Amino acid sequence: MSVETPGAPHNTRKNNSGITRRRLLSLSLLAGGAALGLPRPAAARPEFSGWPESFGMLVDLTLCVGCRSCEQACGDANSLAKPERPFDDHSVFNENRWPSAKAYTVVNRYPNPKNKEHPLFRKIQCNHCLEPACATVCPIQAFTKTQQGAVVYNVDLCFGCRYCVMACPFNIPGYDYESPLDAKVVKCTFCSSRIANNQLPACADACPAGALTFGKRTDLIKMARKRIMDNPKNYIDHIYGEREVGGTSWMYLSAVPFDKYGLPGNLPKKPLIELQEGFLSSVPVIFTTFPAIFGMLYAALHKKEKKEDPAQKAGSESREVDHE
Amino acid sequence: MHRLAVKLTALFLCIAPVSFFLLTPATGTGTALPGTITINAVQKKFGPVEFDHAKHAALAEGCGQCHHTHNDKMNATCKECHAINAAHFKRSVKQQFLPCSGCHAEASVQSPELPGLKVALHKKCFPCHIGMGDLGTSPKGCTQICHTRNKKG
Repeated sequence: MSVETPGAPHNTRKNNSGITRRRLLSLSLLAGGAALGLPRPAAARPEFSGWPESFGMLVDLTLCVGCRSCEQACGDANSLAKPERPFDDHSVFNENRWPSAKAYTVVNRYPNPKNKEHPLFRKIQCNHCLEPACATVCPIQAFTKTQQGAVVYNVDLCFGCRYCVMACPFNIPGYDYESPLDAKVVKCTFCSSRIANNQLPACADACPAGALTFGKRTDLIKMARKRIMDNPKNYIDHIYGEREVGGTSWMYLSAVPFDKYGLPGNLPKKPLIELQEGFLSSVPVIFTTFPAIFGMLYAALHKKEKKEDPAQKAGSESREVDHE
Repeated sequence: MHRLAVKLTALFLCIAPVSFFLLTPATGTGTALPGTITINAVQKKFGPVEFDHAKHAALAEGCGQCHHTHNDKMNATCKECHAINAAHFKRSVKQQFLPCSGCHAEASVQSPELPGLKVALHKKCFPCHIGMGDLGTSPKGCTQICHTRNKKG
């Protein structure tokens, strides 16, 4: 429904809370206008390689030691309740946990194919795509990709359709079922308020191992390339997130293939919006032209039927007789 | 004779500290190698760490394994440490061993390649200490060898 203008990927306004009935109406009018307009071919969509100067995070998976400092710092920064099991409890690694309303990030343990004694650890959170599928599918623009790099969510707009939950290629947005009257989507915010105050995201600030490096995304890519070049034996030659789904603000370096960490290995290199664009842009055309075509067809057929009506038939015959 | 003895003693007292200083190997603080260092620069969740420098110096292959200095086998180029800004350069050429905190302070967005003090310290510990006790397999590993957890942590 919310057909986005190609080339201007997402709304950049930081504060969406000022939405009014008028804005909502104008949005729906826009959507209606788009429905009347012609579909744009996918090829006409200008390429968007992310906001310049936007921030990112480089996760060096080879350095993570599974201390869970990031989890604790995230909980503190977002005022989340303390978990039932303390942060130094390693029994949590026995299960495959996933981010939820109670924890925006979790560290999971994976078996190391190279060395069984040294397991692998990965911190799971929103990867803050450059062209986020969650923001694309959201009918009401509750998601915003800020120019700083974060994909933020506005609870005041969300009406709970959960398209974002289904659209995310990393299965990140979770739904908070705890409070049915105030249900909301929850995910990592990239500590956007901390970034705005020139602070590091809480997890990067807490990580003692140097596994999390926060900086300009372009700088981080250079840094990652240098690390791979300096230690080609330590890393596989791939920066995960540099191009996956059109690029993500969070990127990963690893010594083993990324699917060993549970990261999806078959993601397209193009933004997911490009997969849907052809189909979605044809929807308005079908909805406007098909009823018109079939309506006219029906009217024509109906008219013929009317002609063949016995009363009319008799009338026509009499006219024919008159003519004779 | 008595006056000569006084003069000689005075002369000795003047020279002794200078010669002691000249003969002592030049290190960061101008004293001999430290024995135990209390690392208390970063204390949020954990208490200070008593670092046995003498023990580590004996175990290490050389000072360069932990310290970056000139003429060691580090892969780092001069620029990586010295071109950060003028203040760093000035400090770095004054002392032979830089204190880690001379360059590594709080991690900064402007220079992501320069880790903050906490990361710089831990990065020197982990390559050897990982696998000792539970470090690298459980968060409890942090408190087994080095750290004591603060009450609030």
